Amino acid sequence: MSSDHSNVSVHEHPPPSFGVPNLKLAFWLFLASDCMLFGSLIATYLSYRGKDQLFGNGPYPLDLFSVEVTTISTFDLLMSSVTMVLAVAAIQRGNMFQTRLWLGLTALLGAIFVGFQGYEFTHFYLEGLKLQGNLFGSTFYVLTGFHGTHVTLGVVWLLLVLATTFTKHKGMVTHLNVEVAGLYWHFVDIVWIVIFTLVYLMEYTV
Amino acid sequence: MSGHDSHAHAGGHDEHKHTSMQTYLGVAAVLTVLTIIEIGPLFEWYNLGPVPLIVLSIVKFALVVFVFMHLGPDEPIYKKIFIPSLLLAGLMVTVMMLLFGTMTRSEQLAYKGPVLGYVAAPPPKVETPEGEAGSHGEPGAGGEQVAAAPAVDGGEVFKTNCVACHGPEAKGGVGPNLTDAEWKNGSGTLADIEATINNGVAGTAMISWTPLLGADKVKAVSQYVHSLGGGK
Repeated sequence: MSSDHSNVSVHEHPPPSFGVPNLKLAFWLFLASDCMLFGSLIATYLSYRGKDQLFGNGPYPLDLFSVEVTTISTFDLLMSSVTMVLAVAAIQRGNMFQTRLWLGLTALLGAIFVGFQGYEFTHFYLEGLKLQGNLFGSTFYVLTGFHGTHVTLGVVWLLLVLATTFTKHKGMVTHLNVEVAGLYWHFVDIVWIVIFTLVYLMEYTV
Repeated sequence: MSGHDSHAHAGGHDEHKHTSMQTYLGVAAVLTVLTIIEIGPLFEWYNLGPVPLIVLSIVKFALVVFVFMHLGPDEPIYKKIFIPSLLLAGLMVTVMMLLFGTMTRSEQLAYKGPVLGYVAAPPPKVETPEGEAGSHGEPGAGGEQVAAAPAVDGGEVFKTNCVACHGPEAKGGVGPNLTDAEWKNGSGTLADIEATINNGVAGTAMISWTPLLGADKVKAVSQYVHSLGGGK
């Protein structure tokens, strides 16, 4: 029955074969493949974790990590997931003011996260952590760098959606489109939940 | 927005299954509390082992995926796509862990072996922040075990030239183990070791090192090898 509806209502898009919007289906497929990307980067990080100690080749994670920076950026990204949810809920209600507000806040929180990462990378580099200097440097920069790139792209995406709402094309900013942007944003957040635990918190366990 | 909206609703049943604001805010509050619990060890309020931390992160992960990303109430096709990939990624991480292992904090702290390196350059000096130094097991501490001649550091010479065959801990590889009492060439006295390094061993990869290193470095690395445990 639902597929009947979609065939009637869809004019510009091909009919969805699985009874769900093609865009959203394709996006979940992308997220599934992105899981494998981050899975391999995390596996690499963990395989080399702590082994610089065997060669006396620092700097080591605890020489560099700042608990304050990590805590603030973690809460920042978590809150951005909440504002993203509110943006999707707002567009679903058709409330354009709130949609813009929450989208803008989400992008702002994302930009703050990227700023903290920029600070962290600069600080670590100046303390002697080089991409090719030791195992920790290589695996840390590649893993968190890929994540930071995802966040940066997410910020750009959200800002584009936000900007579109101010143009004559604002009809393109549908619930579906905002929801898919939200899926990407939440995915970036869950990757950070894993990185935060395995890269940062694990260093403080006993 | 009518055309697009009805499209979005066509298969998604969004209107029947959309999550209430109370649920979102409740989940946000739970996520905040779990994160506060997680950061406890960072500020040394209390300690948490790896297992509780991993459990906490799995709970947070699941809450975001199932509630914020609607994977719970949404159509089953999305679960069929995402969950197997997620499990596959998790399996890959697990297999890599089993194959290569990972150094836990306690293993790192317990590691007392000689600090030798594959790298030619000495490790960059890092100012350890005050207060963290003690908790870290002092990375540089092992370097003091190296019996160094005042002018030339035999351990450094060994790192640069010898580990390729004799291994990072001098426990052998292509070349013999240098830390035990068995000696393939000579009897393990300082003079014999120096003679072997100086002359090389015909028919093996052990070349004569004096032309490459000079007498000082050969003397230093001989003393170093002699100090590794097998010297007589």
